[in-house]
Amino acid sequence: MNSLVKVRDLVKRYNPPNGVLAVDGVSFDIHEGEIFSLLGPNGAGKTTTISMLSCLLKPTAGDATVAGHSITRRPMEVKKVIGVVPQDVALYPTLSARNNLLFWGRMYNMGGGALKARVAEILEQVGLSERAKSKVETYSGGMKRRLNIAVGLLHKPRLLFMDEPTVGIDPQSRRNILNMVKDLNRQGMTVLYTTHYMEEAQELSDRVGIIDHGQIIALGTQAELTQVVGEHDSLRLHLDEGADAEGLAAALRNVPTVLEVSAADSEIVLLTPEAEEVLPGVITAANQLGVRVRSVDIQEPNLEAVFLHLTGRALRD
Amino acid sequence: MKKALYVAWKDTRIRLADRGALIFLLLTPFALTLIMGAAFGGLGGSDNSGLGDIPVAVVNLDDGELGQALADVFASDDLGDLFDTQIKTTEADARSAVDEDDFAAAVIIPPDFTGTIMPAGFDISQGMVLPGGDFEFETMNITVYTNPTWPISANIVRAVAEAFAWQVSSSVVGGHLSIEQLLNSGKLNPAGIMSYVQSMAERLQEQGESGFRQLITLRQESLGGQETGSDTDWIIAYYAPSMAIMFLSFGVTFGTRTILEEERTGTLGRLLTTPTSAASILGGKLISTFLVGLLQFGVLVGASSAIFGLSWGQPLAVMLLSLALVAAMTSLGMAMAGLVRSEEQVNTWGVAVLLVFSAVSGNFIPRFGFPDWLKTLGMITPNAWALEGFTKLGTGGALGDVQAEIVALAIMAVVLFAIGVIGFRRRMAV
Repeated sequence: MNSLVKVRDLVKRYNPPNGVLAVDGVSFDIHEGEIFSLLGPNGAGKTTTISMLSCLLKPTAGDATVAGHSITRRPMEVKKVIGVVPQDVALYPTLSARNNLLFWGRMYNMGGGALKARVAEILEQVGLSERAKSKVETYSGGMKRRLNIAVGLLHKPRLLFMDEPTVGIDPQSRRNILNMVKDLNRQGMTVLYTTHYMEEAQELSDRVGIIDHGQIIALGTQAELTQVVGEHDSLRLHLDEGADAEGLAAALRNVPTVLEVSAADSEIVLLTPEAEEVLPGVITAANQLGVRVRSVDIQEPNLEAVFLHLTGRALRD
Repeated sequence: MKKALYVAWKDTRIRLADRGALIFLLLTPFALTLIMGAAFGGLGGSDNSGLGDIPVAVVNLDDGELGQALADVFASDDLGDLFDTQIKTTEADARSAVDEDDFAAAVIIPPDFTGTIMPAGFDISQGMVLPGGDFEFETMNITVYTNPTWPISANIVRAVAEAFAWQVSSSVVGGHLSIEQLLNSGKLNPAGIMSYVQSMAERLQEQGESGFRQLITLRQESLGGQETGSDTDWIIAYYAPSMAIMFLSFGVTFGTRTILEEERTGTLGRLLTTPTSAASILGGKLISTFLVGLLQFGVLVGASSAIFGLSWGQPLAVMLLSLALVAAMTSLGMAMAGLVRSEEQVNTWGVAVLLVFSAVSGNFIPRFGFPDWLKTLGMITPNAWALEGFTKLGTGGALGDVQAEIVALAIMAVVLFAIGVIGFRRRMAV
């Protein structure tokens, strides 16, 4: 398959030689026409990786090519190929949506009637035509997110970088964005999508790179990745607010056939070959500790289980 | 270049839409000018602005009757409440007394004042020109050496001396009176002078250039070497440019902040992921800062002319000096943006630097009274050079008189720009 992006041994250390090592020798390819997700917890190195690939940060070592252009030697050529949707909304709040798009279009070498027509088209696409002349500062969070994405799509890039585009928005806006990503991909756009939401990576991705502490710890299709954990189920326990999740997790590690346990806030995730069989023992342990289990989810092998298996931690730790 | 203009246009639109900033940058200088005028100009009860017992030094180097008449005016009982007059024997003594801030002004009556005003061929005793008399009227200067920290008092001294000069000029050129007759007529006594002071403005307006020739001209010198022949209110003439310059420097930091603000909000990072060079982005921001600064300064110049009736001087020279000033301030803003790390730093030490610059350059208090080392220190700031230049132009200077100021500001613009570029390269190299 034709690789649009080739990343080789990419390293980023801030304030060398003793600064934080944010990305530690990352290598992967992104094939033309696929959605590739980088899945990992906050601080794993997702944003730093995407920032280097979009030529915003210089790598400390290693290199990557985008459409055959090196990010270190031909950054301006790379920038012509990519569109970037940053994690935080990056717009001019006192300008209208239309004027924002016109400005960003000019930065992407667009102009004249073609730009105006494209602005009208993209406003329609993200459902903001009726508010096109309103100042962005008057928009809701979801509307700002949609406009933030529209800027990245304006020049119809071959490759779209989306850095956690659904953080902090309502479920409906999140659903709209996920549908939009799938539509764009169907139209042929290659997408690099970073997220710490396992569900998003599962829904969108052709292939996933799981990243933790600046390193890719697993890479492949979802089927390939779940084989790592075999036929193990994930059991997710939802506890009362303020319950002793850590105490219960410690107790559950002693329950036979429980392989991995992770606790975060009022949730516990455990990995087991047979969820139904282990469930009575889990409830008994909770009762003995006086911890009330509000609900239980049993899931087939998934990316969350892969991450738990590989790191001993849940994605949201 | 095209993209730099797009960035500039975008920035300019955003900044001009910020009403709060516009009020701060355009209205506050006017308010402060008025407050300074009230505080230092006698409206607010300053010690240096009282309208009684004005300390004035008089040096009469003339041995004739006219010189003595003028000295008597200041020393008379009628004006005793207004003036606290001391007679000095030498011009150096009088100037020194003003320099030491003991006197509001010194009136220096030149040698042979009477003889020059009453030339050969003019029959003093008859108060008329003799038939066949061959003489020419000569002009003579009375020097009023004023202390800028006593502006209103100094202007009163000047007005009285001026009234005396006009009375003598009008009477002598008219050929109707001898000196004795002048003195006896009461026109040169203190009451007549004060009456004349009050009506002088109207008469000047009526007579204009078609009026009689003035034999005695008033030469005003201000402590610090500035010379002025203008009737403009000194306070406004000083503080309007001072405040305009100071607020221009603050306006420029707003330009600085747009770079840092874009860095914080992520739009600068996003710009750098587009196929747009860092030079275009920075250039656009500089163009916008320069244009908005020029607009701000232009509005302040125009409005102060309209509202305060202030004359800034020769338009071409004012324009060139303004361009140099705004360029220097723009580069100063860029240097700041390159050196600081955050908007908070601009708010703290950036503003502190600008306030110190304003203080040492005389934007708050005139530099004439500063110690020499502080005067020298002040010249590291664009504010001081600009204020020097605008003061010269406001007091009748021409383009040639402010060449040094324009060149100094241009050099500052280049040096600060270079510092800014170096700072930005370091920032971008992440």
